[in-house]
Amino acid sequence: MKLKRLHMQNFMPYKGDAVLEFPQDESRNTLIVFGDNMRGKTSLLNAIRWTFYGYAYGRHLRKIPLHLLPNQEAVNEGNWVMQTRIEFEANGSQYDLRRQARMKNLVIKPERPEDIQVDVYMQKDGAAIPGNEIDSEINQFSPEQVSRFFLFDGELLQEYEELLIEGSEQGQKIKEEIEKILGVPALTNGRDDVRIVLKQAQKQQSIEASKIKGLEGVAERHQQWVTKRESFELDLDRLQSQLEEARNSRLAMDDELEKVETVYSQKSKLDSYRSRAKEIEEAIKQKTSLRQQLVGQVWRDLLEPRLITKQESLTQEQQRLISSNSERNRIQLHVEQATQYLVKQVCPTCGQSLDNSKLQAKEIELAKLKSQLLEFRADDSRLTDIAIQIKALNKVIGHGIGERLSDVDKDLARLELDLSKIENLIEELNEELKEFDTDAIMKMRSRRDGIIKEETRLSFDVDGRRTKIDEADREIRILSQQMQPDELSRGARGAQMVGICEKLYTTFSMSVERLRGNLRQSVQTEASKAFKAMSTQTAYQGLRINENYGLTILDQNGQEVLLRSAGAEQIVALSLIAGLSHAGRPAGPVVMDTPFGRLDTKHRKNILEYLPNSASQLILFVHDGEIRGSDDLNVMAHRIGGQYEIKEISPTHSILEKR
Amino acid sequence: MMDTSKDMVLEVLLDVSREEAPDLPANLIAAIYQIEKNRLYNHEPNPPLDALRKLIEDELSNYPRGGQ
Repeated sequence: MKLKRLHMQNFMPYKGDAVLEFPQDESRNTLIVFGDNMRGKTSLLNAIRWTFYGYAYGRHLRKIPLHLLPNQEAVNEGNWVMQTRIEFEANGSQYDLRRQARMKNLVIKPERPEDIQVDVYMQKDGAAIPGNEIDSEINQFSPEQVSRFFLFDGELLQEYEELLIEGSEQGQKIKEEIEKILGVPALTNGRDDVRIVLKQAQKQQSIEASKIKGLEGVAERHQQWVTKRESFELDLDRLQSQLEEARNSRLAMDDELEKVETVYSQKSKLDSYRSRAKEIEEAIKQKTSLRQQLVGQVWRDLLEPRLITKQESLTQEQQRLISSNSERNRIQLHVEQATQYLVKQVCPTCGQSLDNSKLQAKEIELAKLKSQLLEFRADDSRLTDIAIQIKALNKVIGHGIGERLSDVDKDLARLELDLSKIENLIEELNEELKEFDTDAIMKMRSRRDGIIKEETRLSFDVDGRRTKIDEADREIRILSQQMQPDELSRGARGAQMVGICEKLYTTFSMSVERLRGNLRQSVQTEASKAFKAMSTQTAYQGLRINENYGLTILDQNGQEVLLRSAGAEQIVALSLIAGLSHAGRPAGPVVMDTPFGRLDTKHRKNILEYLPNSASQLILFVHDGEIRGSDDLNVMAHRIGGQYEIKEISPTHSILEKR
Repeated sequence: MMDTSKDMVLEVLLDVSREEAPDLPANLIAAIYQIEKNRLYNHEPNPPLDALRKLIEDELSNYPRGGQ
């Protein structure tokens, strides 16, 4: 296919008429359209997509509602007519494809896609093609399913990473689309359809065999297995349909949840703020209660200097009394010893009788001791009283009530501030979330978790039924082979049909696997060539393909490079496109929107040099930051067949100018 | 626009057939493949069973019938 001209009228930012002429010279097959961000580069890609397939993508590959596609300025002026037209050549014929959207009758202001009427017109070599055949005609040379590989949005690059994740749902979808490009479904469908015919033939074979003498028993067992298999297949259909339903519900929920992911995250934040606010309120309550207690004890701080003086005085008195008591006890002991001495009149050490002089001296000492003893007043009750008073003072003194109160006040002020901040955040989040039913979102998440469990169970059951069907197939084949010689000798049609269908089924089944292997090899070889041409790392050996057509880089030792930069990802993705292109993709143009975002200068040059050779026409929508000046352009100057620039008239009005 | 000058899929199919079922006529395989290929690009949802059965029955008409 070769694009000739794109004509837009009031399509997205292109108010009025805008025309893009595509290069026709094969040696200068590259068209570059420069435009700053938000000017309308992606809208050009969308214009091509909308003309061919009737939809346009916004961010994150979401379809833009039809009523939002017409130019806003034109709409404000009351003009709701939008049209795109592509003239192109395919299969040796000249095509003119037009898609027009306008406001439906009786609609005052379109507010939903249903308010817009879309008409499609196509001419092939000047003759009109009926409306109901247009899609089919387009799919002959540019199947919608494979459009993602030639209407190439930079945003798609990240999707190719999914191919490297075994079991990834998105990876599986991309794999299926790649296989569509490569023609695999023609074989898988052929295999499946032949199997249906085979099963019908097997039934006929059972009936025929049951009428042949000697084969009745085998025919009956054959028939029983055929019936069993039918039952397993019905079961499998039911389970697959339930699985599909569960998967679709989950995907729909995923979509919904993705849309409200921010809401969900904000709701989680809100819940965490609320919980924190509760904690702070509880802490404030406790601190306030403590504060009240401390305030009730503040008098202690006021009395503390006097109480300390009193405590010191009491302590001194206590020491004095204790010391006096100790001295008194010592003298008392001596008095008791002297009294004994005089009563017994015997030396307590040697046991000899004491003479008068010694007794007189002892009496004098005793009198002296008694006199000393009289000087001590026994005041034990005072000592007890002092101990009680000191204990009471200790309870009151030294608690720093004032300091503690000050600390509590500081804590309270901090907590009040924290609470106030959190309450503000809660208020903001409440305001933000008031339009959303956050409880419903939470319930949906919980329902989604339930569906995932159901999917797992159904997948398990599906696998179980498949195993049983395989077993039935084996049994039927064995019994069929037992019956065939006799049946064939009688020219039984069912047996003949089974024979030929089994061969066809084997041929188609084995071809699917061989084709996949060949294609993977071919894509790997071509993608590796492209990778080596585009990569600046010359030591790399190339790329290795996996079952999903995901590509990994092989280093100089043939080891997989596990960590890849964003730029490397981009080159690998572009290499896959190149590999697919060589391995059987419909020959045609490649349109790339903002494809060089993550590349350094050297890689950019390599790619710019390589890309024009990888497609029949190369159309690049880029901003100045992607292709920098003459340096970049010189690399491909000899391949450039045209350049345009998108100029802004107003934020909702852009025009195309030839450079 | 598929590149029809070299149909890799058909080539694989005929190669496998030659190895696994040499008595299957190449034109029968090619005809079934063509039906499936057309169906693929025409987005025809129903399997072309009648067309397939007819092709196989036509082939069977070359086989000896019962009682012959």
